[in-house]
Amino acid sequence: MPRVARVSASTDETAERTVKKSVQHLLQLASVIAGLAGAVTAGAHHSTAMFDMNKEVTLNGTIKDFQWTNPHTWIVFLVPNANGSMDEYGIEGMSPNYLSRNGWNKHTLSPGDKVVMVIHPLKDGRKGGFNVSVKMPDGRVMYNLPHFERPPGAAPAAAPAAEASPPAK
Amino acid sequence: MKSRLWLLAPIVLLAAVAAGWAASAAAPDRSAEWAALGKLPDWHGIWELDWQHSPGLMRQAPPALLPAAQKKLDIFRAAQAKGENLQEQVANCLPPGMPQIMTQPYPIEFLFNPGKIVMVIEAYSQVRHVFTDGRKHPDDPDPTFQGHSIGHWEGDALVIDSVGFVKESLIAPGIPHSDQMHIVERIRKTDPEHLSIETTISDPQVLAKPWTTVRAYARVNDDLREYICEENNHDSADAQGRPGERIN
Repeated sequence: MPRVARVSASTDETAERTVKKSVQHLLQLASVIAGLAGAVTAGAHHSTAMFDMNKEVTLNGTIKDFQWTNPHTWIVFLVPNANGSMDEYGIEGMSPNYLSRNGWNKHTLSPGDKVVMVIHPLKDGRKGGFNVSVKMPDGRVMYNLPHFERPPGAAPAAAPAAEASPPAK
Repeated sequence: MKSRLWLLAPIVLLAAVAAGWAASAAAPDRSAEWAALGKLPDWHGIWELDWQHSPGLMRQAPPALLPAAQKKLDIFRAAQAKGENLQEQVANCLPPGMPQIMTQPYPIEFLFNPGKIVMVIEAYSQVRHVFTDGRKHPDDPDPTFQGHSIGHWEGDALVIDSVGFVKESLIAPGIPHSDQMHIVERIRKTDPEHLSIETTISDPQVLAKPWTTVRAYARVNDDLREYICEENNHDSADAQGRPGERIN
């Protein structure tokens, strides 16, 4: 994946490196410029203000639907709850345009697939969020957002609080 | 007697076709113009903003705003504490317009034609028309999202001059432009895998001085894909910029 290889190359600017490792900023150069300008971020399609980008939630469940559509992919995900029934999550992902250039295709997920999803949850508590990664039945992990290997124990790269940190395409 | 006149119909039809053919044959011969395009720099392929190769972009100066524009931006920011101005109208699939359409995380293709260069922009399926036939801007252009663009070559660099933008095409979020916004782009190929775009935005009613940024664009090993924002959009922004998410 040349895109990730480019990103992994180090630079001598700590500030730049930090931001480069921030997914949000990588995908949103416009937001970086806007951040410099002191303005709110400019989303490619939208900002991620409705998601808690500093929080990750892991969900075990079953794919009900995988929509390979613009401006974002959409997963309907069924997760067993304590009552013995299913909670239905709506999970937004990167666009097919982006994902098709990064190892995904429309058959990557199918209804009935039992997978483990990591999401950035909606801030308002409803059952939804932004797709971070999907652990497939065979154990492979498909990253929806650009993925950077971190040293063990290192904190996730967080977006500066002043910005709305939009990764969304 | 009357019915025999119908026998003339094929002849009349043939005459009409011949006249049409003669008219088309008299159209300008553009073969030399098409051939001349072959001498232009080769920008074949599609190109996406690549900030690993945009040295110092983080250190490039933000726009210096005039006091009234700065006050607008301050109010815009203050409202963010109330949950407003966190989402742009692009969340409702309104294209961003110039200049922000050029910095989306999707590729752009340049098509050279006699008298015109067309930029096909994957994000929001947008198109920019850059006239290279020597025309001037209209005196009073109708405002558009991409503006009215004229271009010329300076050596291996394409210089594009654009004016006439709708109010929705922000300089940056919280920084609207006046009807005097003027954008000059200087595009050239820096190596086989990269284009460089230097963008200078001036607006004497908003910016204290022209704002110049330089960005690299890397070749993407793919074709452009379709992007119809209205296809399956779950996101929204209300009039105050509060974000929404439809989860079913």
